[in-house]
Formats: sequence, structure tokens, C-alpha cells
Amino acid sequence: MKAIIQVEHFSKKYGDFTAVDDISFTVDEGSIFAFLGPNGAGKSTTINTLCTILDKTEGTLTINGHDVSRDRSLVRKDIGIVFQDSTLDAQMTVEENLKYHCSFYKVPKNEVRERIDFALDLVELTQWRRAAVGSLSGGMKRRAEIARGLVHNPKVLFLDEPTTGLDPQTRANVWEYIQRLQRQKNMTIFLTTHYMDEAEVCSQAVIIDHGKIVAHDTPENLKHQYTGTEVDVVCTRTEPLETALREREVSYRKDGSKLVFHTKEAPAALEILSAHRGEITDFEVKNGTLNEVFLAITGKEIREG
Amino acid sequence: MSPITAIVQRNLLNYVRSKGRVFGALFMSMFMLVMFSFLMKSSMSGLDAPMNYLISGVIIMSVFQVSVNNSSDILTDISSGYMKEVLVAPIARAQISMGHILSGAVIATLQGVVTMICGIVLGLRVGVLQILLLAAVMLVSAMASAPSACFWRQFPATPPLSRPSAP
Repeated sequence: MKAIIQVEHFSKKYGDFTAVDDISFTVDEGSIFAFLGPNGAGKSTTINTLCTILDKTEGTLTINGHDVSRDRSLVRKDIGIVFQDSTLDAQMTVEENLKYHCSFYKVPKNEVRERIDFALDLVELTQWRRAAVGSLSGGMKRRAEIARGLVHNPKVLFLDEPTTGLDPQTRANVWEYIQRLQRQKNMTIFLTTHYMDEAEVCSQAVIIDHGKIVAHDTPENLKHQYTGTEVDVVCTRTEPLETALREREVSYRKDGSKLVFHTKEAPAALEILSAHRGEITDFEVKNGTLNEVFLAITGKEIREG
Repeated sequence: MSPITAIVQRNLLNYVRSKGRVFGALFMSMFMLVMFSFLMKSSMSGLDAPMNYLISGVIIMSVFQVSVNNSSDILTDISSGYMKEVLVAPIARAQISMGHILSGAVIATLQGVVTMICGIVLGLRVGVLQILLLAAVMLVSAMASAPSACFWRQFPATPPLSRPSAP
């Protein structure tokens, strides 16, 4: 597949502080790409550089073949951005925000109406089109912002924590719109988020920490590599199972009549379980999540950045 | 619609919608007109047409004040985040500045014209040619003072060079 974003040896320094330290990655056209990392890891710096609002210190960054520091206006035409904080004009209506956005991006006059209708319909804001943005709820503002980000048909849509501060329903909806867009328009989506369950939909994920890439793979491979399967078993008698686990040198934790142990893969657990099925009254098998991957890679301490 | 026209239109729309600002600017001009024309007329003895000097001063003061006030639109846009949206759009920085300068100048000139009309009622004696000249001077001085907030800090703000050290 063709790479639409190419980042090679990108570094960004603020004085003595290195925010991003020599990172390289590519993003395939039409894919959903997740850029994950703790607060202060360098995510927003990278996004802002790709969006042409920050200057790089070193490296080459291209979007759709255009260099982000030399061909700025060509890059700007190809991208849509939903920033971390609201960037809507609160005094104008939803429709006016979109209309002026179309003028800035030189959307052909005869298409403006149709595109605004499409975008508002996608995020279900059609009935609020004449409402002032300032009077909308947080979730609606977010949706309006997403609608605005895609009304000029960008090739790449950047989403910097698009679902922060939204309720679970709105979050689910926002992801549905994003995936629908990616399918319908073959748009490339570059996103950052703190909700790891949301990053499961992406085809590639990069985890960045202290300005360096610490993992780059598909969510499946990451989970396979960094997490195992947790098995919780409730038994009538725990001794036989405990002996079996000790024989296999599997460490376990006992909690009353419940045994908790970890295996690398689910089938291995099946073997143990089926040998003792007579004593087992209940069991639960939990697969690893991206959240665990994230914590395994970036550690558990809270960041000050 | 070109980007400059879009910015001008948006700023004018926002100005008209903020009733407080429109009212405040008009009130200030009227206040100055009354203050400086009637109350200070007596101290201007010895001149042929004292009102002409006083009122034209008030007009140009209104124009300056309104256009400098409106240049804060740029600062409002930066603090509300809207400027980010404009900056990542494929528009040249010069076009953004031009849009803001023109919208500020148009508002200030209109304000000056309103003040001038009130001034004529209050005793300003001018001919048609002079009215046109006045309007031209208003436009030029409004455009000169409108970009005063264009000298904004480079965007986005540079993060602090030293970070607080961990305890």
C-alpha cells in the first residue's frame, strides 16, 4: 500500500529540552493510525509539526509527497485537523463555521451546500445547523468540529484526542463516524487518544514515550507480544488444580476458592482447565488489552509533563 | 468567496452580533461629541468656526478608538483557539492580517461616518468634497491603526525552556 505520511529522523527541541527525539514511521493511505503515549510524550508536538504549525528541528516529514516545512500550503490543502481544544468560533452558528471553513479551503461554490449537508448529516447535527456554537453541549461542539475537519475532503484527517471529555455514548458515535469515513472516502486517519479501547480499531499503532518510539505494530501483535491471558477459576477443591499448576511452573494467586493465573496463550489454559473440569464451578478467561500493553511499555508512574 | 472576504465578512458579522460593542462605541462617540463641542466651545474663542475643529477632532478620535479596540479581535481569536483553525488553513499569513485590517477599518470608518452625520446636526459645516475627504482620511487612519494587534507573538507560544524539576 502507498505511504501517505512519511516521517524520517524527526526531532524537535525546545531550547535544551528534546520533545521528540529522532523518530521515523510511515502511515499507509486509507488506514487508521493510532499515535499513543503518556502526557508529555511528544504526541501533540508531532501532530503540530505535521500540521505545519510548528517547525521541526531536524528530519524530513512529508504528507502526500509534499514536505511539511517547504510546501506548507500544499500540505494544508490535504489535511483536516480536529485539535485537542475547541477551535470553533462560539459566536457563529454551526453552519457559518463550516461555510467560512469552505471559503478558507476554496471549496467550489456549487459544492459547498452539498458538502456541509453531508458532513452535518454524518455527525447528526443537521437540526442544530442554525444554533450558535456557544450554546451547544460539549459533545455537539466536538461533533461540529469533526464535521468541519472533513468538509473540504482532506486526504488525511488528524484527530488529537477527539473523544476527551465525552460521554460513552458520544464517544462510541464519534468512532462510528470516523470508521464510516475511513471506509466511505478511503480517508487516512491519524489519531491520538488516551482511551486504549478506542485504539483497537486502528490498523497500526505507534507508542511513543520520552520522545522516542517504543513500539510500532498492529494492535493484535502488540497484545500478543506484551500481554498474556488471565484465567480466573472457581473450584470446589483447589488442591488438584494447584498441584497441576505447580507442576507446570505456572505462578498463581489463591483467593478463597478462586485461583488466578496467567498463560501466554488461551489454548494452554484450555488444557489445564479440561483436565480438571470436574472440580471447576466457574471460570473466566481474559485476553490482554491495549491498555495493558500501554502500561507494560510505558510503566505505571504518573507523568508530570 | 476569497479568504480575505471571508475573514472580513465573519468579523463584521461578529461585530454586528455583539450588541454591547456596537452600543458602547456609539455611546462613546456621542459622549465625546457632546463633551467636546458644547462644553469646550467657549474656550475656543477667536476662531472662525470652532465647531469644525472640535468635531473633526472627535471624529478622528472615534475612528482611532474603534479601530484599535477592534484589533483585539485577533487576540480574542487566539485565546478562543479559532486562530489555530485559520492558521492551518491554506491561506497566507498576509491574507489573514489583511482580512483583520480591512474589517477593523470598515467598522471604524462606518463609526466615523455616523459621528460625522451627528456632527453635521450639531453644527459641523462642511461641503460635499470635504465630506469625501474626511471619509478618505478616516479610512486611511483606521487602516493604519487597525493592525496594532497584528504584532502578535509567534504562534504557538513557545513552551517554557526549563521544566520544573521533579521533587
